[in-house]
Amino acid sequence: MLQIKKAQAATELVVLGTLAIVAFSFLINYSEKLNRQQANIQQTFRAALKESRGTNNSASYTKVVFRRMANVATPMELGQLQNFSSSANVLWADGTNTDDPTSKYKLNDAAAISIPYRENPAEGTVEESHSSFINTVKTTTTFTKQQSGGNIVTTKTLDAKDTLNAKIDISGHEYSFTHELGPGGKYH
Amino acid sequence: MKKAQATLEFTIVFVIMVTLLMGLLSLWKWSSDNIVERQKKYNQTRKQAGSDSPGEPSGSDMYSAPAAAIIK
Repeated sequence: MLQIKKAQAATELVVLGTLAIVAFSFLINYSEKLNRQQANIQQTFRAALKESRGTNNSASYTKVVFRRMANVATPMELGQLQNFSSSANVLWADGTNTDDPTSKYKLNDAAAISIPYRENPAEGTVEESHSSFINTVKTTTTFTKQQSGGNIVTTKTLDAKDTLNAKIDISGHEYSFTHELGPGGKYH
Repeated sequence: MKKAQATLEFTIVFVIMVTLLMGLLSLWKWSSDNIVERQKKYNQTRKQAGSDSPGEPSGSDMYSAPAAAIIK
């Protein structure tokens, strides 16, 4: 048996090793995504807590963050685009000297938008909010190969630009943002 | 007849498998360290949330632990 199948263990390793790497890469990627999502939820809650403390009334805070993840499989290309969003509503007040409740919306690192407070809206009032996020990606990959004598030098460079155009409609007010992809996969 | 072929192959495969597993464990530990450090920073923002200083509580952004090393 052993004489017939040469390098059986090595061949099996190739199959098993590949499957193991794929499975673990999926797990790591997924756990990283959950990790970032949880961080976003926590930060939103803290932001709402502080707003509530400031007004001595209830506060709501919404945070939307876009990120480009690292591309492990093909490093010379942009990674996967992920977005995380979370909202928090907090009431932290002693019931005296209260200001109007606040409601804020924040996209990436931009300054938070204050959503106007409407007291006692008419019964049956329905408010709709629409958001559109468009990513425009421009990439230039340059591959050069220089041969002199017995030496070959190859160089590959990637020049990538990613622009996020966001249009957010909140209670009839439209807000526009243009953010560029920066270091660490963040949009500024 | 190829004597001890299985032993030889096992030796090679064992070394590769152990290296692979150590790498995976090290990545796993790096990910776990990130969560712990991030939580510590997040806990510090509780004080900021109760203060009068302007702006959003900061410092609890994603923490990046030092790069994973297989052998330390």
